[in-house]
Amino acid sequence: MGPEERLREGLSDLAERAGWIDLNDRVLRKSRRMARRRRIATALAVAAAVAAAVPVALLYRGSAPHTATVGDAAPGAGRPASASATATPSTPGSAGSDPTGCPVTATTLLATLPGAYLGGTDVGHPTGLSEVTCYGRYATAYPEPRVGQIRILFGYQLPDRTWLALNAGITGLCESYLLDGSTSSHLPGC
Amino acid sequence: MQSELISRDLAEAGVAGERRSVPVDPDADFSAFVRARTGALLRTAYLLTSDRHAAEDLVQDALAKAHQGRQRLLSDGHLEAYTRTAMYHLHIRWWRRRRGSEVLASEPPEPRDPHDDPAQVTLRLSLQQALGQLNRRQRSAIVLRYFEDRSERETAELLSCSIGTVKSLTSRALTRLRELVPDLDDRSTGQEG
Repeated sequence: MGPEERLREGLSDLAERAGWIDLNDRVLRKSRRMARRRRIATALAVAAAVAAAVPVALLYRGSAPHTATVGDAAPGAGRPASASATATPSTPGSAGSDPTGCPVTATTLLATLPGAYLGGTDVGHPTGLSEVTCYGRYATAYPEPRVGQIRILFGYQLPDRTWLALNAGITGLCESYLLDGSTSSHLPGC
Repeated sequence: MQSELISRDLAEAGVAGERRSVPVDPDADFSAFVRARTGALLRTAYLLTSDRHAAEDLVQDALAKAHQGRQRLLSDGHLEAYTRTAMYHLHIRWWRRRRGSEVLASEPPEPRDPHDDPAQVTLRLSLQQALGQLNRRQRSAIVLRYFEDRSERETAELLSCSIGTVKSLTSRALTRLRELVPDLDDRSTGQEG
């Protein structure tokens, strides 16, 4: 018997010490906790989105009270360019005024990768991104050079209007981030 | 390994068979899956963690993630594959979070079974200690290649790395294991590894 066969035999023997326990109730409790945490995170994100979107929407309608706060702007002529800059002082520029952040360029997304934690998945050292798909504040793309079929998931942070690299993997990328299937169905890898 | 194959066959015939039909009750089907496959998942998790409680936590968290997408995973027939992938990723993620402060758990020795072959017991104990000396990616690669009998390509996909990385992880881990567990070689006189 070769060392590899001995190793197989030893691992099988060792694994039998694992025992058995009914985890069903523990799994359901843990899953409920995860769902509750996700709902809270989503509610906070929605609240932040609304907080960011309402002033912009009001300014687009030419709402007088908002334009008045712009300062030197002509009364009643509150145009989006100057007003929105006041409403959201830290616009990074790449996403324009679209609250979903789409469309987004590969260069913008690539810039978010250094130092990002991608759920423990190794994506190599990408020098570019390909097949960028952007939908509803999320985007997925392949790192170039590719690492198998691994894609990277990006999210658009609304209060800051910045893109963040969130996760990487082959499937189920969005499990922890998206609630509705209608968004994830537009994103390959979700 | 035989029992592993038998339980996989049972699962194929039962729980995983839902891929041909839309599940009527995803919660009941998921619970059936948990009860049918917990044993097999725990065996893999135990090899990854060397600790029963950590193995239970790992399987619990992976199954909880799978529970979140149970409807889709059951209808696609990907429930087990997803759970196993989640387990390996969580295992490596835990290591990254706890790196530096981790102290490997050592369980009290098992009560001696009079039917155990002493050589087998020695190998098991040495192997358990030696696995604890590998880093988590190396240990995952060893478990996938030599316990689950996965190909290099499948291992690379599960660990989200390249095939070259799998080869390197496996080779280093095997070298280390053969240093730490001389019994792996002792009985193989005249055979190449």
